[in-house]
Amino acid sequence: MASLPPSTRFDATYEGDTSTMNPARCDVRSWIGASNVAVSAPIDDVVLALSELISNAIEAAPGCIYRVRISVEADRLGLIVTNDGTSVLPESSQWTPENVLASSGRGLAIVAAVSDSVETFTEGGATSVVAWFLQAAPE
Amino acid sequence: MDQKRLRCRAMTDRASRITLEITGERTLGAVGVLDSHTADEFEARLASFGTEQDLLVDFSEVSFVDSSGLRALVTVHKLFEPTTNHLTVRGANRAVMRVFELTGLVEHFHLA
Repeated sequence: MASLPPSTRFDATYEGDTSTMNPARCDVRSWIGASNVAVSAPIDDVVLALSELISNAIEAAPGCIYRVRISVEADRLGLIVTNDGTSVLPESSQWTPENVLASSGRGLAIVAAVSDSVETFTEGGATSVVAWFLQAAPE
Repeated sequence: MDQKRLRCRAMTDRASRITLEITGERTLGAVGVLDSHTADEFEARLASFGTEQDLLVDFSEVSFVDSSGLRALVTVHKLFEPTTNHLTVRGANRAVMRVFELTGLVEHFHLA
């Protein structure tokens, strides 16, 4: 059975309030910029995916602390957002490519579009979503 | 160090903000970040200008938009649909345009 990536290089928790989204985005942008990890996707895409995952975490478990981690594997970087609440992510997704003016449902579609793959884990009442980004090939 | 990282470092402890100022007749300038924290207030303020004439909002100083920001723009865009007038977004940067493109909104929004 698949499980969360065991090794993480960035690990921070934030209050489950939208006011923490900007600090979390900045922390991750700065960490990636200062690290020697080169992802193939633009860093703006990684930060966008993070913002969407945090929005979902806060929506699923408002007021609960959420955790942001980065796992670095040989060929990919995993962006992991975990909400400590027992709620699961909302499944409804009104947005479709045929219904682009829907009121909601774009968040996870954006994550899927900018990342290479997305996985969801539920353990011990916590929900984690991992967006994977391939590392850039060495020059 | 690139400008985004410098700006980020200076703002790292701050919640996101967005301002919407009147810069001309039916012309607004948005400055800041449009995310879950700012979208509702932005939407309410943008909608408050009404739909009886075209409305232009300059996004050249908006550094980030996520799906919550898109929802706000879509909501106000829809207010204009029963009319012959338009909400136009001008000057969106490359990162913001990418979000419009990813979600297909580039085909629906009036962009300049």
